[in-house]
Amino acid sequence: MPDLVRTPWRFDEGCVAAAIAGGIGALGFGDGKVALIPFADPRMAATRQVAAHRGSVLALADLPDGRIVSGGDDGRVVAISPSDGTVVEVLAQRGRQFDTIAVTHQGWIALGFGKEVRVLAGDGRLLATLGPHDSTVAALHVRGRWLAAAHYNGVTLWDLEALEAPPRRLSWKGSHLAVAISPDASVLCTATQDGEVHAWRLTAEGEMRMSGYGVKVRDLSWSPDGLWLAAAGVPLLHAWPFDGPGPEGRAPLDLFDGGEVGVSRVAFHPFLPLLAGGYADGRLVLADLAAKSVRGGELRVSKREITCLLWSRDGQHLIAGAADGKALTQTLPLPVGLTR
Amino acid sequence: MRQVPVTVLTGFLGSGKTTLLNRILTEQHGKKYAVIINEFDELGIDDQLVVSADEEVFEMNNGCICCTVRGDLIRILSNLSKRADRLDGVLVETTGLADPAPVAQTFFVDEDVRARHRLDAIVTLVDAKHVLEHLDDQDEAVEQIGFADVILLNKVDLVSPEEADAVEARIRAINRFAPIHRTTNSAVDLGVLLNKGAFDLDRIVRDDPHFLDTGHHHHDHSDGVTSVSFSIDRPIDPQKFESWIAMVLRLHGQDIFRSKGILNVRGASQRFVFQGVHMQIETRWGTPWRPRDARDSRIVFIGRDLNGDWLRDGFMNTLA
Repeated sequence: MPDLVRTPWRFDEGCVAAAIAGGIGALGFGDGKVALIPFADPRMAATRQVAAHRGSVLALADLPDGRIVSGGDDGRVVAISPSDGTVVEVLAQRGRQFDTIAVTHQGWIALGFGKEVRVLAGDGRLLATLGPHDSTVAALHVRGRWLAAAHYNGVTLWDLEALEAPPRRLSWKGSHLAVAISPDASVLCTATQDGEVHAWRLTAEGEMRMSGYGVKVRDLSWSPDGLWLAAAGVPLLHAWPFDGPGPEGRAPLDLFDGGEVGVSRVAFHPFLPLLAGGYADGRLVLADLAAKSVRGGELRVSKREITCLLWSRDGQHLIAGAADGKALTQTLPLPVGLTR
Repeated sequence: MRQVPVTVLTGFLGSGKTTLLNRILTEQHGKKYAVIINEFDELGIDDQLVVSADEEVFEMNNGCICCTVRGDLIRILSNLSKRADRLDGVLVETTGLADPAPVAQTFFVDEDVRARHRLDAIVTLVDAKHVLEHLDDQDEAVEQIGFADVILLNKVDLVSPEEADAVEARIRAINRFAPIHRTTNSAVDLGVLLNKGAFDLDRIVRDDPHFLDTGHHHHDHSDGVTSVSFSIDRPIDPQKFESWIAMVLRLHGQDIFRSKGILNVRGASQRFVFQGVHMQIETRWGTPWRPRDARDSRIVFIGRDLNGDWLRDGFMNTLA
């Protein structure tokens, strides 16, 4: 494996959200600014910050046209053009916090809007209003044609090819905080307030429960082959096996023991069996599932929580941001034949 | 981590919550507050941090039947804590008919809310002119008074002093411990409302050594909601006490709105303090006893249909 190139960063305010659009990484902060980091420039001298919100940035996502959508606690959603730093307002609603955004394969922007999901075209035109759901939409996830909205007592699964069709409802009592659909769209998982990962089979009957966390489950990530699901919350960086009969009654694969402190973010590489895990005390580890080991030990990004952790779609870059504004970008030159 | 104090404002429609919020947001106090409200259009103030909430209550999936929390509040507070500017406080307005329990329980249950915020006080606004009707008709009015750490008896200009006294007596029969401030147009010194540390018994005792100092009696009243309190001047046994209070809350937590206590534990140089909302309870060691302190143990329950004799007997059995 070629050498990694790592760049540490120190920003003025805490990192809240991250996105990567093309060759540009974006980090959003508690003061409403978004830093744009061009990976191609080895010195990253062209890095700049744009003012996106009056309050805090709460969510970032990348659009297929290279722009970055940003939701804030100032009741605004904006689109940022990384090339020139232009900020265009997409939506404004006073008193709302826009904290969950997903971009569809059509380039639509799906936003949690109270109990509803608003689906907007890239120019901000309203295409559809989905819901109302049982409660404020806590998380959105897009996989292919499916848009999953997590809320109290379950998940509502919308078909992006037929938004007017009645959605599929997956029910499980309690508050669901994160949702992730497997790459082949055969399983949908949620992270719950009650310290459990709940899973539904989408292509067959069946539900699965992975319980015993004892803390809120904070994040979910599927391995690219769909055989493993990583969940954040406890000190053990681990992944549940989804081959064969699935995870029920089986032990998770434990990859790294963080000691006293819990994992706050997990992110699988888009096509390698590599799992990045960020900890609540600022550590970052990179676990190799094939070798069942951690590469290069633990890295100290910060002393505060890793709040955002994200791979680029081409798998070459990783961004980790922490609550005190420290961050790490990492470029992983891929073996010949693996680039996409 | 610095904890932002959160004040919960309860009170029936028309009791003056919006007027009070407008005062807090417009007064020149040099502080930065965020306000979480329900009816967004009522506040017409720009450039203020106002977030609208839907008062979404969910039941924890942990087998505890009365453990309901405000999920929307968890999200909003978590989002506010990401801001770069430091907030001096957060005010949460509840709708007129709201049960204050889910808001309060949110601060016991959610680990992130607990880490970054502390429930400072539940402030209940009471419409002096109409509260007696509300207390006759609506359980929620009784509950809101039962839960309160601070009570504003508002609109006293609309009633005679005698009527205000009668209302105050009725409030006292429900909640014997919350200070009552008489106000007109919600005009009150913010110092009596904000950053009170009403959930920090240690601090209260420091400010008022006679807090919870009430003798051995209890009241009964037709509202069914009363305050009972007991004190003993001999040390208690911590194991006995913990099993007893756990049993009381397990059996009757649904009817006990608030419980609090300051205990003289055998062999301990510090006060042992506890604070509960329904079945949720927090215990910890407080400030050390000083030589001149009267080392007594005082506990208070506010709730519905409390059996004072049974509670007193149980408490007395925890003596070391």
